[in-house]
Amino acid sequence: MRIARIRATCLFGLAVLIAFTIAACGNDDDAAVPPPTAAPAATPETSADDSEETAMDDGHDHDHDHSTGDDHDHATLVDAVPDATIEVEVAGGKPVDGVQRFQIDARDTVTIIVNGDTTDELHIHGYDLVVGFAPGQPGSITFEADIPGIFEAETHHRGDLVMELEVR
Amino acid sequence: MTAELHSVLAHGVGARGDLPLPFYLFGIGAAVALMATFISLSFFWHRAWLPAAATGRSFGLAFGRVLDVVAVPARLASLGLFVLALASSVSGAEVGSQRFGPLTVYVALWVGMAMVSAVFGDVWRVLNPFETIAAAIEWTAGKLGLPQLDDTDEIPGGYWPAAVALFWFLLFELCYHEGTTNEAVGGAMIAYTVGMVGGSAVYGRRWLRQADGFGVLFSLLAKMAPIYRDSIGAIRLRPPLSGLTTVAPRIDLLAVLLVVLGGTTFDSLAGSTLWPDLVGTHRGWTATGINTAGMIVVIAIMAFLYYLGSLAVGWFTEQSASEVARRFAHSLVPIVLGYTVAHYFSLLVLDGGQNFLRLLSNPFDRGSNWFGSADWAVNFFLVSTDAIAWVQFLAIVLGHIAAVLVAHDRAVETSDASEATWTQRPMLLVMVFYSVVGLWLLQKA
Repeated sequence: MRIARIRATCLFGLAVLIAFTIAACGNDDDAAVPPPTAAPAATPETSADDSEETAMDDGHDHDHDHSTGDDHDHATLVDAVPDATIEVEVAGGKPVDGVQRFQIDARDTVTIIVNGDTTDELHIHGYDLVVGFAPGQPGSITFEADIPGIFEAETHHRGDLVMELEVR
Repeated sequence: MTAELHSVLAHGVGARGDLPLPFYLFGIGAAVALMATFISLSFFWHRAWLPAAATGRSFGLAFGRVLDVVAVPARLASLGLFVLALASSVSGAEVGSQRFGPLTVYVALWVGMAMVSAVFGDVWRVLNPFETIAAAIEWTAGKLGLPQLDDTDEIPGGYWPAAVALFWFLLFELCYHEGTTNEAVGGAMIAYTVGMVGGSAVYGRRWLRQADGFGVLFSLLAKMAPIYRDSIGAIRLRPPLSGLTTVAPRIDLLAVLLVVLGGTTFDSLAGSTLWPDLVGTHRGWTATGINTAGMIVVIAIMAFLYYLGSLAVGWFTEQSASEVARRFAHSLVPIVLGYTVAHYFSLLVLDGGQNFLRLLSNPFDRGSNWFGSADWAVNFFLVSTDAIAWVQFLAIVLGHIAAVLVAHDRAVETSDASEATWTQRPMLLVMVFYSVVGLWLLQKA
């Protein structure tokens, strides 16, 4: 009786394991992540210039100087050819292609370009960067993606999620 | 304006999300580890030895007395931190985009104290600011010659008030779209204090033992710790997990555990890519409503599966489902800890915990630097993403392995080892499901 139970328990465990392995391997739907477009040989120089202006405005109402420990010390703005360029289009606060997650490698430079039909700002969490944009005036920012993790970016005024940045 | 900025991430105080786990390797690894543990138990774990081990070895009373002395400044420091967090929230201070009150409640208390309790025992019993406030009121009342309240044996309602308090806290943290604002956290702290101190005024301090959701949860987690204080105040060492055998087999304590387990699972779901696909993206009160419904459903699913497992085990052992559910409720404690570590470890060590320490020096954004930490920059490289992934995986797997061990130890109290593993099969399926869902949601992060 006892041996039979142990044998049956082992068989039961094996059956669960096999069923589970089949279920796990059948679950292969990782193709949903859009790759960021490869960087062109030269980026428009305006993008880097714009980024410096917009990034200084962190969007919060502060009347003291920024050197006293605001938490975007780590976001490094760069003036160089980016390793990846991400372009999103926002209409009525929502991303036209739905909320997408863009994968980039840690320590790559990335340019994010926002086109929108309203005047707003895109706020990139974690990096605490803000990119302003207006109808006909796309916003752009170039920075070094040096913090690994997943970061949401949303419109500042409306608070809609626009995209996610996956840095690994 | 900034309020709505932070409404998107479910556990809104963190700005960073963890990278997805590679599910196939980790998921299969978890299932193999659980199966191997379960099967091997039937060969070598024949006797229930955890209940006897739970008494442990005493350090003697002297050490307990020393701790009593140390406890006084610790108690005052904790009360000070509570007042500071409340004052910071009420003042509406923000440093950058960070707020000290929400960081204290959601990171230092909810995540930090949970982990501290599981390692060092029921520290909250000393640090609980409501306990300190109630004691101060009692002392003052005594000086004024007012009648003292007895600590009645048990308040009607058992631990249900604690389950309700935790559910309410999780609604605030995970569902309410402005739950991480200073206004919300400040208001919630005041409301909770009124509930705790007011209840103590009516029922005596026993109320805190049964209605303070944090206290009840932390005391359950503390049963895992290798250290505890016995009834005469001596400090004792015991094998980790053995203290879980002293958890009362009660349905209201089971409710406390399932609320927290379901809430954490919902947080993981809400932070995953599945959630917007499922319900779309919403803002404001619509988001609050959808989140609330989602959290209730997730808690209900976790509870229903545990009930099904209990029903099936009871069918083998000829016991009622509720009897089995109560008898094995303590095995959920390590799973709750595992889920908490898996989901919040990176928040604690990276931006959440570091911003808490940073703002501790400057909670009112007036340029102060009390402890020299105000100028720290958040170091996102303190632990690597690989290390975080391993912590998440191990937390989930070890939590469930501990649950299987503790459950088996209880099962062999009344039957031999092979029969125990045989009758525990339904519970193993529930454990496999819990762990796989936990890892799967982390993979969809």
